[in-house]
This record gives sequence, C-alpha cells and structure tokens, in this order.
Amino acid sequence: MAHRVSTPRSAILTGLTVIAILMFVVATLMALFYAPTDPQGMVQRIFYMHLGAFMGGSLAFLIAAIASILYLVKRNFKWDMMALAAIEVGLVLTGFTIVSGAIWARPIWNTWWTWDPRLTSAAVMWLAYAAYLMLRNGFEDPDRRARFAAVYGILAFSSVLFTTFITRVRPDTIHPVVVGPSPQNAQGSFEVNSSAMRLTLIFNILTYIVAAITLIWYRYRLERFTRQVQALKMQVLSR
Amino acid sequence: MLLQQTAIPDNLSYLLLGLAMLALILGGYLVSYFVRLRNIRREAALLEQMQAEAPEAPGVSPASARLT
Repeated sequence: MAHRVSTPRSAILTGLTVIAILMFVVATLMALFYAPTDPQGMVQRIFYMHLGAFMGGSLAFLIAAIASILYLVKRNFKWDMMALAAIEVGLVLTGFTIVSGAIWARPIWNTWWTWDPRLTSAAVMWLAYAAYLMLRNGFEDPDRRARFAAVYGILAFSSVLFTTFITRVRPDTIHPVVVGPSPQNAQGSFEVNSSAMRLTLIFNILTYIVAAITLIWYRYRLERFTRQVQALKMQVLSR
Repeated sequence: MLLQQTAIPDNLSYLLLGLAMLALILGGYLVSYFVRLRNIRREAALLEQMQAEAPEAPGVSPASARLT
C-alpha cells in the first residue's frame, strides 16, 4: 500500500528523531555516571530525569494551551489536533514525573506518597489532563468537541502553573526546591552545587524538551492521518 | 558515629526501579503509538482496495499518500 511521501518536514522530523534519541542516551548516561553521587545516594540521580520530564511535560501542556487559544481564534482543526497530541505527550511525561518522584520519596521520605501540597497538585494536574482525553470523546459533533476541548485545555493549564509555583507560596510543603531556597519544611533537599550536576541537569531538561517536541510532532501526524482516513471512510461508505 | 552520619546510603535498587519505570512508561507509549499507526495504515489500505474495486470518485486520493 504505502506511497509514503518524503517532504522537507518529514526530513526535519527524521533529523529531530535522531537528535532526540542521541540526546536521550547521553542525558541518561550523564545522570548515571557523570554527575557526582550526592550524600542521598544513587537514588538522587533520578532527580535529573524527574525534573527533565516535568519540564518536557509542562512545555507540552503549554503548547496545548497555545494551540487551544489558536483553535478558538482561527477555528482550524489542525490546532485541535496539536492540542490533543501535546496533552497526550504531556500526560506520559508528567506521569513519569509523578512515578519517579514516588520512587525517590520511598528511601528519602520513607513513604511512596504523601498528600503534600506539591504532590497533590501534581496528581490533580495529571487527572485534569487525563479527563481531557476522556471528556472530549463524549461529543459527537467535531466542532463542539474541538471547542469544548480548547476551552478545557486553556483552563487546565492553570493546574500546571499551580503545580509549578506551589512550592514558592506554600511553606508547609515538604517537596524540595532546587533553584532558589527550599521551603522551610522541605525534606530531602540537596544542592546542585557542582558544574557537573548543573550541566547534567540542563542537558536532561533540554533532552526532555526535544523529546516532547518530537513526540508531539509524531502524534500530530498520526492524528491527522487518522482523521484523513476517517473522512475517506465516510466517502467510501457513502457511495 | 561520624561514619554513620556521612556514609552514603545504598539505594541503588530504587534508581534501577526508576529507570525500569522510565523504560516502561516511554516504551509503552511508543508501542501504543506504533500499534495505532499500524491499525490506521491497515484501514487505509483496506479503503484503498475498496476504492480500487469501486468506480473512481473525483477528488479522492489514496489515503496513505497523505501521511507526510
């Protein structure tokens, strides 16, 4: 079947994929072997991936919010597809953020999970975006579905901002902060105090951002192809 | 006592668990992506076949040609 068309865009995506894979391998190796071992032990190395994945996921949710605004302004379905793709990728990355945080917390806080403000807001954020995927399927009419999803996608971004900044405004959180002073009750704090740690952190954040963009692009193409096939199906079946 | 305070705890197993979860979550998503892609390509191929068997309708091009 396949008459796959090679375009400049697909060549860029292929290049981006190669870069993302290489960066991912290097970033993981840096986290495991290049960064010095913190007094917390080897588990502290999860932090580089944990923060990287959160930044990648937050970027994906930001892209979804911007795409949602653009859909409401332009009423072009490509922005609806972009928002859907970005939210799906954001859920994967922030899902890993939550899971990796729980794994770090077990030896450091002596618990997998606690209803701390930061952890709770992260869970609410994840659930809000998971609900996006379920709720948008409740609409038959594509226009209404896209309109509802766009409004929801914009409102849901407030949960990302809340999760990001809650450690700055709630002194009772035990979640440590790496950039700037930690909250007074923070437990398991550590400092990114060497150039190797800083470089590893920055490289991991960049890696997960590139990975997020690459995955969103692929998911967008899949969604577009799916809708094209659905439209074709309607044409063929209506003959 | 001093040695107890400065000793680095052995929690390598948690790091390995974290890496396993990274592989599971990202790998699982990639598998789900490729399964969906395979299914939609099969559907596109079937529709192409149905199109080829039926009289040609104007303005309908093979679906798989549009995946750019």
